[in-house]
Amino acid sequence: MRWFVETTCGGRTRGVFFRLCVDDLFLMFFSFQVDRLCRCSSPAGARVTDRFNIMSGVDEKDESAVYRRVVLKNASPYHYLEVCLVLQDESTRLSAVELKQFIISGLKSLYGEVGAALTFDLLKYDEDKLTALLRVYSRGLVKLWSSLTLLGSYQNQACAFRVLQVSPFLLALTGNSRELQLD
Amino acid sequence: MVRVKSRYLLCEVNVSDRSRLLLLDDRAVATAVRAAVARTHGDYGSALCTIGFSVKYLNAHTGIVFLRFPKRSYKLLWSALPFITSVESRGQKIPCSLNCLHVGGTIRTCQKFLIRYNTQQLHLMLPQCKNEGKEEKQQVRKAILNCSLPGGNKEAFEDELEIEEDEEE
Repeated sequence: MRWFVETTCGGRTRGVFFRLCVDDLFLMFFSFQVDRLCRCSSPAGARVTDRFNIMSGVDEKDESAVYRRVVLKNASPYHYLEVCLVLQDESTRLSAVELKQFIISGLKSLYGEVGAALTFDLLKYDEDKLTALLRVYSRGLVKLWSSLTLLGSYQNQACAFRVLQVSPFLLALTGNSRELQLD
Repeated sequence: MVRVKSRYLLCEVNVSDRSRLLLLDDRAVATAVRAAVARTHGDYGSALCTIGFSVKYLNAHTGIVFLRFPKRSYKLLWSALPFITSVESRGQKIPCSLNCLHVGGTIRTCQKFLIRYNTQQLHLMLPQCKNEGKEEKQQVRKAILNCSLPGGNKEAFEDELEIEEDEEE
């Protein structure tokens, strides 16, 4: 069992816990602004304890008024790309299988056998507009995107991949203000 | 930003037919490595291979190669080495495989490791030559005792070369 003291330094909502022996305890009162004081065996228990909470009133008010921003890193395992293929001869049509084979050949020329083994899925394909929705694991996004950029020719005609939208969440690809039609 | 750092890979070339090992050339090994990297990692891999890569030392008798890679990309290029199936030199294709023994930051550390490795190999060979006469045993023992750190390592190399060739016959 040790003494735990919580202090708030510099306007933070959650304080820092100090684990002390009895001698240091009085020194703490003089040098820091003490919010909570309790005696238990672990910091987790100290956080939960409310018995000796000196500034309990202030904490509750802070909880309701404070603005919290939640940032998620690596939230989704996949990334979704919406791409459009632009060909020199506008009347050529590709099937879904041909398009996937074309992208794999691009990966193979830039990143070799290891790149060609990168798994990606063609979720939706519109044959008339040559627009596709691709899904790839987040670690493979850079490889896929760079090989799409450097893919220059399809069966001796010049081509280009236009990447319209990229997002880790599929729902984000439903709305696009660039293609918004207000009628 | 004081020094350019690189990684030296100490590899052993495994050939089934030992006499063909002598045909090896450092340029042949370099082209074989570049081809394997281009196959496995594409244009990106061959671009990484142009700047820092070279074959620093090749011993045709024992089949030891020192490959120099830049520090930033040595793991990627190392991963392409198992895909080498043959080395082409002087018009002949030698089927072989590359086996990595040690990774070092400088040639010196690789040499120190190589001396220790060679002494271990000689220790392993010593019990095998019991029935073939006392002269070879004495030669092997002398070579083991002669092995020393980088000051006199050239002699140690030459002794080991001759003895390994004798052992094989």
